[in-house]
Amino acid sequence: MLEFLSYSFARRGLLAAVAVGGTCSLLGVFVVLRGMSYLGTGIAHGSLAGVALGLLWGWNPTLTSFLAALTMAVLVEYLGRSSELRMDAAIGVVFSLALALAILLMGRIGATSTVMGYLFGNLLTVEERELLFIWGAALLVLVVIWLFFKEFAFTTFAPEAAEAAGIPTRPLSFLLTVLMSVTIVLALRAVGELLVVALMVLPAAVARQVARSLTGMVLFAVGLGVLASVLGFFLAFFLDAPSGATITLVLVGAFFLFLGGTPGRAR
Amino acid sequence: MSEPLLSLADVSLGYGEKPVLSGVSFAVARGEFVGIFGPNGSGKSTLLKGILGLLAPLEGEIEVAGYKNRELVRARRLIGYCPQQENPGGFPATALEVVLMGLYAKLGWFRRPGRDHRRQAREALEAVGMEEYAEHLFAELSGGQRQRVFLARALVADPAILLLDEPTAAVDIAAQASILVTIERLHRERGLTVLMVSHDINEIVHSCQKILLLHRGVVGYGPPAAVLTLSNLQKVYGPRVLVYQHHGHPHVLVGDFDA
Repeated sequence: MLEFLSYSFARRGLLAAVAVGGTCSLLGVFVVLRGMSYLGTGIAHGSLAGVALGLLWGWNPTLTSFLAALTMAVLVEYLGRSSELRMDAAIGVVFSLALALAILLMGRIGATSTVMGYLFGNLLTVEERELLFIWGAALLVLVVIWLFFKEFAFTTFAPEAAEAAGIPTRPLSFLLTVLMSVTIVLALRAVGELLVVALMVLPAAVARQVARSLTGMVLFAVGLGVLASVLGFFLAFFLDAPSGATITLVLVGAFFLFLGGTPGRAR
Repeated sequence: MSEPLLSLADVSLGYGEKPVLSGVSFAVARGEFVGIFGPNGSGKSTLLKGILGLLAPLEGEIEVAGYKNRELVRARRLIGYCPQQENPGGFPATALEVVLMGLYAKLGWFRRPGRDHRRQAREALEAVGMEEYAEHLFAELSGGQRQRVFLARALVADPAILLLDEPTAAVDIAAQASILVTIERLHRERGLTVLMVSHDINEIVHSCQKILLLHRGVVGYGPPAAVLTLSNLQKVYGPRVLVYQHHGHPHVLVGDFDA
C-alpha cells in the first residue's frame, strides 16, 4: 500500500498534506473562536481571483493569490471600519467582487487542470518549489502564533478587556487576518479554494467539543488536521479523487464521531 | 480633598465627531468609591472608555495619576477594568486561566506566565471567594461566578483603580448582593479607588462616598444626599421619580405612583 511513496511526487504530496493540515487547523482554532470563518471564505475567493490573474498574466499564481487575499482582507477591514456597514456585510461585498472577478478571469483561461487543481485541490501535483513554500509559510505561521499566543488568546476571549489592559487588539487582529491569508494560499494546492475553510473550521470545531483549555484545543485540532490530511491524501490516491474532497470527508466523519463530546478530555 | 487620582476638565467624549458626553468635569481622590448612574445612552460606559484612553476626548483633558489624554495608555497598568457583558462563548479556559489574562500586558511580549503568576491568580480568585473554582471551566460557571472571575482578573495586576461597568447586571439578586459585598470589602481592605457604573442606585448608594449622575453631561456630582435630589433625578429619569430617606440614605423609586 505504501509502495507508491517511493515516487517523489507522492512523498511531496504527503509532506504537503502534513504541513497544510497542521497549519490550517492551528489557525482554525482562532478562526472558530472568533467567528471568522465567513471572512476565511471571502479571503479564499479573493485568492482564487489572484490565481486566475497570475495564470492569465503568466505571473507566479502563489504570489498573486497571496496579494489578492491580502488586498481582500485590507478592503474588508477598511469597509468594516470606515463605513456604516457591519463587518459581515463588508465581507459580503468584497467576497462577491472577488468571486465575480475570479469567474470572469477563469472563463478566459478555460477549465485547465491547473485551474481545477486550485479549485478542488490536488496534492499529487505539488512541485518541489511549492513544497518549500508550503513548509516555509507553515513554519512562519507556527512561529508567529507561538510568539503571540497569549495575546491572541486574550484578544479572542475578551477584546475590550484586552485592549483596556494595554494589549494592541487591532494590530493583532489584522496580523491574524494576514496569517489567515498566508494559510489559505499555502492550502490552495492541497484542498482547493472551495474547501480550504473546511480544513480550518472542522478540526477546530471538533477540538472545541472535547478540549478543556486553549492549548488542549490547539493540540487536538492540529493532531486531527494532520491525521485527516494524511488519510485524505491516501484516499485521494487510491480513489483517484481530488484531495480536497477526501480530506474534507474524513474531517466531516470525525466531526459527527465527536458530536456531543463533553469538555474534559484534552487538557 | 487630597490630590485627585483621576480628574476630568470640561471633557467631551463621543464616537466620530458626535459627542455623547459634553462639558464633563469632576475629580476623584485616592480611595474614593464613586457610583455612576444615568439612563441608557447617558454616556456611562463612554466615560469609562475615555478614562481608559480607549476613546480620545473630543475636547478637554482627562488625567489619571499624572497621565493626560494621549498618555492615558500608560495609566492602564494602574487600572483594573470589568467591561459590560463579556460573552466569550465556548472558549475553552479554566477560571484560573481567565484570571491569568489580567497579567498578560504586565508580562510583556513573548513571556509566558510562570508559577508566581499562577499564585497571584489564585490569590485574586481567593479575594473574590472563587478559589475552589480555579480549575473549573469558565463556560460552566454561573453568571455570578463569571462576574467574580472577571473581578479577579481586574484585580490580579494589583491596580490602584477599579473601573466596573455594571458588574452585577444579568445576575440574580443574591449574587448581586454577594458581588457588591466583595467589592466593598476590596475597596476597604486595599484602599482601592472604585468607579462603578450601575443601573440600580439603591443597590450601591450605601457603598458610595460620591455619586456621579450623568445625562449626556454631569447632572450632579458629590455626596449621595447632595446629588440624589428630586430635581436632579427628574432631570435624568423624568417626572415619575420619588426619593425617600431610609437610615440616613436617599433611596430612589421610579414608577407610576398615582396608579
